[in-house]
Formats: sequence, structure tokens, C-alpha cells
Amino acid sequence: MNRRRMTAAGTLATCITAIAIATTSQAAAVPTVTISGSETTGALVADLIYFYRRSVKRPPRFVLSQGGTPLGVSDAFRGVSTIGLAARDRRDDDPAVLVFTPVARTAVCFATNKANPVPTITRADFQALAAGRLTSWAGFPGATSTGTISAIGYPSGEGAQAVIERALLSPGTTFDAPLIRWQTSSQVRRAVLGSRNGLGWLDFAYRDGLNIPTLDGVPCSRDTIANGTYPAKRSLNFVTSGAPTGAAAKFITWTRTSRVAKRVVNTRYVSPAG
Amino acid sequence: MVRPYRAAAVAALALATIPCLALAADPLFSEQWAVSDSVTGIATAWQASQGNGVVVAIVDSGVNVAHPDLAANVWRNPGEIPGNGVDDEGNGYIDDVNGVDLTSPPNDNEPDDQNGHGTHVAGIVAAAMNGVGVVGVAPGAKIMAVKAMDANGQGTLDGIAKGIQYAVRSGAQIINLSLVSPTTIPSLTAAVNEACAANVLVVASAGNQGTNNDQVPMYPAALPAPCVVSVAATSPSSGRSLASFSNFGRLGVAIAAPGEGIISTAKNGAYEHRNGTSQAAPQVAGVAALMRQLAPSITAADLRAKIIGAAVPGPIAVTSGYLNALTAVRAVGGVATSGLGQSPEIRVVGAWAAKVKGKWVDTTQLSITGTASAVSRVSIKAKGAVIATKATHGETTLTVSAKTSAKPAKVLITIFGRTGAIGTAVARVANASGDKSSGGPAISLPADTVRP
Repeated sequence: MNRRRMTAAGTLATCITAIAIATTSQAAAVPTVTISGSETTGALVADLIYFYRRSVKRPPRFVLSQGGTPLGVSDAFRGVSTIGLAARDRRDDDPAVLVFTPVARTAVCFATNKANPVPTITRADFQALAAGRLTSWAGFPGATSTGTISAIGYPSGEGAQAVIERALLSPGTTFDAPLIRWQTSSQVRRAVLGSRNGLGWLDFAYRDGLNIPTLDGVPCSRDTIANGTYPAKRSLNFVTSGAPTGAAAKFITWTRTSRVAKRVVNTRYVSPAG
Repeated sequence: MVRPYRAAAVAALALATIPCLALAADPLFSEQWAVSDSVTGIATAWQASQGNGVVVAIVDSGVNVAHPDLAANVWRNPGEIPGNGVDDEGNGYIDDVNGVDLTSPPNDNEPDDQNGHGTHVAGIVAAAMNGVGVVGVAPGAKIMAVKAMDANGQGTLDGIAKGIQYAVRSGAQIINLSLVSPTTIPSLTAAVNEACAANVLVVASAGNQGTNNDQVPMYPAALPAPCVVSVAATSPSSGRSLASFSNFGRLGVAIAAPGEGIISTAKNGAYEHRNGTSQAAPQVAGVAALMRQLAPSITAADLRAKIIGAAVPGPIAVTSGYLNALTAVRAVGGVATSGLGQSPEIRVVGAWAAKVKGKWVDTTQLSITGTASAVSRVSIKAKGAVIATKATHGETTLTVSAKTSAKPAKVLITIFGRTGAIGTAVARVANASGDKSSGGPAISLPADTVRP
């Protein structure tokens, strides 16, 4: 027990020394904002950080890693990161202490190869695809391919797969038919680019070079995201444990109020500010 | 030696690692369900990296550094002259040649393992791919043995903190902590923070109480640091269920990896099965070593994020999902990906021969990734003669069998596209463990990937 007390006392002395050193160097210290989570949100936030650092005097140091929405939520909650990144809206099972602050509005679009310019996918089409009743492009309105449909999405649970399933399938129903599952929208985009028979769903920012069918006649566009008429929509969010404070709060506020930030967001998505 | 606060500040090894079965030291790859492409993709990831030269510290009960499956991969302290009784490099430890012993008085830095736990963990990370015994997740990595737990699997948090510090200051790039404690102390937090600052990834087991770490945190897994990955254990049926003993937590346990029925190196030089999150953590540490070889300058935070981001989501209560070695390695390696629109790759899953009713039957198993439809035919040659051909129709797995008069040592596999041969691979033919009907084949170590 003596050893434990001695260890505790020694630790206290060490802590006091460390605090003293930290205080001494405080005037020159640059705060660090650590950010982790969603890849999709992270790509946008990296751009925002670039412009923020050129827009304000004495910007903080940013450390950005990714790892997916679940990690962003977990890291924000556990205090591993100052800001978590989530490519989804708040869920009921998220800890109450977490605050979700939208950085952009986006959507999950359907995509086919340009060689198979399908004009529209309906909710009924997707439900039939998910149930294994729709398997071939043969006879599909507007399709030039006649082969087997290669459905290209993601693992169940998080991200774009959850968004599309929640928007288009009945509650409690999941995608049960054969599905090529990738991790990210960029992978799905590459897969659809290489497959004449592909039908994928991906984030709005990854649609270049692909044919983007409407969903029930509603185009996947900035206008329909902005006016809320596109069904498979979502927000990209900052996640903080409680209201953001300090350098993180200043940055988040800038992303929501600055004209520069609005322009950056609108190059990819739709700013929450419109 | 007096250990006055063992009972209070104890870091008990995650001791649901129950020795199940000791096995002879012959090829056991077929018993390594965790090192299977269908579970984590590790075998395919080896085509890109085997973790060569990456130093992984095993802070544990020591390591049998003379084990035939470990000896070649034991770290050697470049600054220390063995056996001269001098602290040559001035790090405070005398003759710390392969690591350090923090449980015994000064001058004895032989990290010998009297418990067996550390040797088992070390084998999961880096047992050599040498034709005997088992294969580690990172068979080219180097094991730094940091003994901080005694023969009973007991140690102190302060000892663990010192072990982490030793590993960081001695150049470890990854630290495996297959141990848990319900409490923590500032020196442990400081040591982990030192690891993060030094860009060292710390992989920690979640614990074997079957409880929710979000409600009852276990340390060091629960330390909120950007270089710490906490790991739950899955069971072998499909690798997709949490083991019944495993702790979990949607917010507090990052990832799940195989941890039940794991065969690895034993302290007596043989092999044994154990179960526990202690066995799951080194799977992740091994994958981290594969990644670090490909991206030596990656930050620990990025390494952590990429391992977690590559996980396969599933209906288990951890933050991300199941360890996915292949995706994680691809995320850092810039190595060839496979999938739709990609050139086909053929991987030899296994090649073996078995005597059936007096005749040898040679079997080669292949998997095709990328655009499988671009492959039209596969041929197998042995001793210069074609022994089998098989037309393909877009399959992603193929099994090709042929009868021969004698067992070939190796086979040459050629894949053909529509306009001719597009690649070849050579596979060593293993001896089957017997007639397929009475036990199944022994699958050989993975062979080459073929790229057109």
C-alpha cells in the first residue's frame, strides 16, 4: 500500500509540473481540433478546413482522420475527437449528450452506366429488386442492356445503404437479393462505371460520369435536395459531445455562416443555409 | 519481490484464454479458421504485404523466443550486446536483447514466458510462414517481447505502463495489449499518450466478462486516445457472431475479430488452442503490421481509422463491425483492387493431393476476383503435361481435380481469356491429411496471385 501512496504522490507532483509547463507555453500554443468519422463528410470538411485556415487569423491546428460514421459518433462521445463526422441524421439510439450540427444536405442517387441510360427507377422497382423479383434489364423501360442487373450497394447498417432502404423499403424490410457490397460511394461509382449491367446507389457528389435516373420521376439534383422533394435525402453532420466550444465552435460556426464556406459546400452539396 | 498492490491495481490477463488442446508442430494452417479469406481476407492481403520488418511489441507474460515458429521473427535490439551485463545503449535495462522482463529484479531481461499467454498472442501476430506449425497474421513482422505479467498472468498497471514506455522508446510501431483491468492509473494514460505522440498504434482487448464496456469500461481498451483500438472476439462458426464471453459496446469497443478456437504457439514449443479477446486483439495488431509495411509514415490515428473504416458492418454491438484485413490493406497500399471492371485476378486457395482407392487425386482450388467473366478456361499442368482443364462461366470459385499416377510436387496453373493465356501461377501441392471422405484435405499455404 505504501508503494501505491508513493506512486499517487509522485504522480501528483508530475501532474503539477506538467500543468506548469503547459501554462507557461499557453500563450504561444495553437489549439488542436481533432476530427474523425465519415469519409463522405470528411472529404467536404477537408475542403472547408483549407479555406478556414486562409480565412481567419491564427487558425487552430486540425487533425483529420476518417474511419466511418460509427467511429465519428463514438469518438465524439468518448472524447477521442473534438468533432465527429456523421453521414446521417441523428438516431434515437445515439447518446442524448451528442449534438448533431448539419454541415451539408445531400442525397443518395441511383446510377447506371452511361451505356445503359435508364431514365427512371421507381420505388416499386427498388422493392422488386430488393426482393429478388426484378433481376434483368430485359424489357426495363429505357434500358439498352438486356443482361442480369448487377445491384451495387453497401453492407447493411450505416450510410447510403441505410438511407436508401429507409426511404424506399417498408419498415423492417432489408435488401435481401444478391448485392455487390462496397464500402464507399467512390467504390460504387467505379463499379458502375465498369459495368454496363450495373445499378448502384451513391452519394450525390459521386455521380459524375454516370447516368443518374430519377427516383419516381424526381431528379437527384440540388434543387430537389434543397426543396426536400427528393426521397432518399440525408444530412452530413458535425457531432460534438454537448454544444461545441472553443476552436471547434468557431470553426463550426464559420462553416454555417461564412459566404466562403457556403460556396465550398455548394460545390458538392447543398448548404444548410440554402 | 514485493508486489504490494497487486490485488488493487491488478491488470489481470484476459484469462478466459483457456488452453484447449496441445498439438504437434506440423502444418496447421487448415486449423486456422481466422486466417481464412472468407473471414477476414488475410490470406489474400498477404499478396500485398506480410508485415515485413514491422516491430510489434507484445506486452504480456513474455514470449518463448526459441519457439520454432517464432525464433526467426523475434526482434533483436540493435543497441544491446548480449550477455555482457552492461546497459549498452543506456536505456536503463541491461541485456534487453529481445525485449525486457519487468517482473523480475534488475539484470534479468530474458522475457521468458512461464504462463504461455504471451507466446500464444505472439504467434497470432507473427508466427513465421516457414512450413511448420501455424502462420501469423503478419508472418514477416518482428516480435518485441515485453514481459510485464508473471507466471500467474498477474501484473500491475504501473508495470504495463512501463512496458508500453519501453516498447515506444525501443522503436515498436504497434503494441498489443491482451490484458484488461477495471481501473486505470495516470501513468497508464500517460504511457498510452506517449505511444500516440510517437505514432504507435495500441491494440487492446475488450475483456472476457461478456459485459457492455459502454456501461462498465475496461482499461486500457477504454482509454480515450486516438491511437487505441479496442477489440471484441468472434466465434468460429462463421466469424460473424460475438463469442459468448466477449465484452462489447457500440461506443466503447471499436471492432470485432476472431477470438475463439484460435490455434497458435505454446510456451513448450508446441501449439494450442485458446479463446478470448486476448486472441482477437493480436489479429488486429497483425493487420496493422501489414498496413504499416505498405505505409510506413502513416499516422497512428489514420491507421486506426482505416482499420475501423474497413470493417464489415454487422448486427453486433461494436462501433464498426468485423475485421476486414483485405480492405484495410488496400486502403493504405494503393495496391490493385478487384471488382467489377477490374482485370481478373486468380488466387490459389489451395492445392493438395490425396490417395483415393489407390490413385492420386490432385485438387486445385482457385478464387477469381475482378471481372471473372473475362476468364474462359483454366488449365492445370504437372510435370510438363496438362492434367486437367476446366471451362469457366463467370464463376468466382473453381475446384479442378485430376487423377495422376504419382503426387506432383507442384502444379502450374494457367488462366485463359478469350484470346489466349493471360496469366500463370505455381502452387505447391500439399499432402492431404487422408482420404477426403475421412477428414478433408490439408490446404497448402496461399500461393501467387496472377495478374494478366
